[in-house]
Amino acid sequence: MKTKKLLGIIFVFGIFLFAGFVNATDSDEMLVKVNVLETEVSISVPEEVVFEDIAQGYLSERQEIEINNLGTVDVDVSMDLDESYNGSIFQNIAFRKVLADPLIYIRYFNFEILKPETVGGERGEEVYMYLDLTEYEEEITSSMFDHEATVVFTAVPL
Amino acid sequence: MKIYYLFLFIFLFPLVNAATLSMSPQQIDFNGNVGEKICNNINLKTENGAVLIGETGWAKENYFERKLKSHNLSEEDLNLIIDYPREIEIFNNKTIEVCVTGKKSGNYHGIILYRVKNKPVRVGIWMNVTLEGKGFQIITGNFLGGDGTGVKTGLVISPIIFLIILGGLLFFNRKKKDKIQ
Repeated sequence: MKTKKLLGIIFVFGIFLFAGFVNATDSDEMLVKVNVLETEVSISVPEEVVFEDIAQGYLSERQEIEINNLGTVDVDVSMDLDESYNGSIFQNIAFRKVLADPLIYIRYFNFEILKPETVGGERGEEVYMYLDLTEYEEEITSSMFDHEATVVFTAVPL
Repeated sequence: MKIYYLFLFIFLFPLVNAATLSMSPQQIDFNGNVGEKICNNINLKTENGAVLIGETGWAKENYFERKLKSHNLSEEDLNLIIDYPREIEIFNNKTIEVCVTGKKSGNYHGIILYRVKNKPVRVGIWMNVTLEGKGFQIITGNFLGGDGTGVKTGLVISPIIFLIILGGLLFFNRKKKDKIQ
C-alpha cells in the first residue's frame, strides 16, 4: 500500500516536472508572434433612404444616416449622385454633421471617419440628410411618385 | 414563435440594407522606367458576390495631395496606360493586378476606385507612379512614335540612326583629310 502511494506521488510529481519542461526552459528568450495585417479601406453605407412627401418650397424631414468605417485607416467620405440620374430634384440633397451647421449640397459635402479603435472593429459617423426644395425654381407641373436616384458614397484614405 | 421572427428580422435588417466594400492596401507604388510595364496587386472584398466597376482618376504631374476632387484627369491626359479590370465579378474576395506603362518620365499621383454595381458604395486607393527616363533608345522611341509602339520602334530604328551619324562623321572626317591634302 505504501509503495502504491509512493508511486502515485512520484507519478504526480513527474507530471508537474515534465509540464515545467514543456512550458518553460532555461532559455532567457521568449518567442513573440503576431499577425500584422495590410492596411484596408472599407466602408458600409445604407442602401435606401425614403423621404416623406414633399413639394416645391419645402425642406424635407431629417434623415439620420450612419456610415461605418470597417477598415484600418482614416477615410474621407464624399457623396455624388449616380451619373445615370438626369433629373434636378435630387440635385438638392443636402447634408450636415451638426444640427446647428448650415446645409451643404451633395456635391460639396464630405466628412472624415477615423479608423476603428480595434482591428476588425467599426467606427460609425452619423450625418443628417435632407431634400431641400426651398430654393427650387423649376415648376413641378405633375406629381412624381417614387421618384428615385442613387447617391454614391466614396471613401478614400486620408 | 412570432417574437422569434421579429428578433430575426431586427438582426437581419441592418445586413440586408447596408452595402459594404473593402480594398487593400491603402496605397500602391509603381517605380520604374519609361516604357516598362510595372504591376502591383490589390485586394477587393465584398460581403456577398458582386460585380464591381473600376475607374481611375489622376492629378496633374507633381501634385501629391490626397484630394479626390483634384484627381479629375484621365490616364490619357498624362500619357499613361493603366491595365486593370474595368468590370469584375467577385465572390467575397479577389486579388487583381494593376499595371502601369508610361511614355514620359515624371511623378504621377492617381486613384483607382471600385464601385459595387447598382449599389451606393465606392472605395478607392491611391497610386504613386515614378517613371525615370532610360537613355537614348527610349528618348528616340518616344520622339519617333509618341505612343506605346514608339519605344519598340525606337529600339529597331536607333541602330539605323547610329549608322547614319557614324556615316556622317566618316564623311566629314574624309572631307577634312581632303582639305588638308
